[in-house]
Amino acid sequence: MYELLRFLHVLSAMAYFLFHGAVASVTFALRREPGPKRIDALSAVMVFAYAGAPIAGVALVLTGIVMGFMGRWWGDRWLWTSLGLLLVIGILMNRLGKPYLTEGFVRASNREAQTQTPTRAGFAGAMRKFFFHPMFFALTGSVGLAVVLWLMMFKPF
Amino acid sequence: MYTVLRFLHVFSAFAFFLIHGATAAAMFALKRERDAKRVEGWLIIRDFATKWMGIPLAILFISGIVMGFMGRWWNQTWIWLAIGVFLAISFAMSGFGRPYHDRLWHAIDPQGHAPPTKKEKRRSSPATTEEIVGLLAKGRPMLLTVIGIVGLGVILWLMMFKPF
Repeated sequence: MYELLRFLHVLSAMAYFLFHGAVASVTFALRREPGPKRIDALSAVMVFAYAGAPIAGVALVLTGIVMGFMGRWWGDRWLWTSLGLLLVIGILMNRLGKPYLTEGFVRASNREAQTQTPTRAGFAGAMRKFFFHPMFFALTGSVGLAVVLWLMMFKPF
Repeated sequence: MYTVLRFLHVFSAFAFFLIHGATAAAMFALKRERDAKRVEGWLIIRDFATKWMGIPLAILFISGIVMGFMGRWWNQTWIWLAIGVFLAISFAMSGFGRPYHDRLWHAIDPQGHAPPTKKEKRRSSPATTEEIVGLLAKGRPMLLTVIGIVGLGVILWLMMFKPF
């Protein structure tokens, strides 16, 4: 039973990444694809991704919780650390990713907005440039995933 | 060392699916598309994802081969069966998917993109909306999704349970 759940856990993780990949591609494509027609296509990708990702995400979390009980991992720190890390990544993606996508869609579909420079001067401008970049999201997600995977596979503490 | 390779193998598989998600989304959306500009937008997304998919796929493949030697799995049936299923999926994906996208690119932008096969004549001007709609209808996203998901399930099951 545990092995079957582990199989479902990995399969749902792969399905989740398949759907999430669609969102990731939009964050990159938004920077290069202005024009209302193409923006419509990007919006449709988001619809596809948001339709499937939650189902796979719920399957992933549920199998993980049940395995935590079956394997008696809930007393181990690696499980709590990986959960905490997932939460941090989730909050970061949500708090920064959503405004980035919203602003990107508005700018890309609005000719006037495209001609205006969105930069802000000084420290705030530099911070904005750093955090509002698809590479920031890609790195945060990839490094976070690697650490969570390492914690789950090696169970170091 | 084996555990590190297993970690790399799983991580690269996740990365591969993350990037592959964009091409899957494009395939589904293209089927419903009727506007040449939007079709072009989808094809750009698909090309962007395809360009980067090779890196995690190479890591996935190399780590798998090395692990096969380290774990002495090469004389077992499950590993050869898994490779066979993987190759069958790859052929099906490229057999159905690539010519479809290449044909669409050529129909939209005949100057910048060659037809998928040498047998097909090169267009001198972009295709009409009716022609593009006809080409779009030939996409088989559901078939490819079923092949991909069932195949992935079988490979994962073979790797995790090593039944024979």
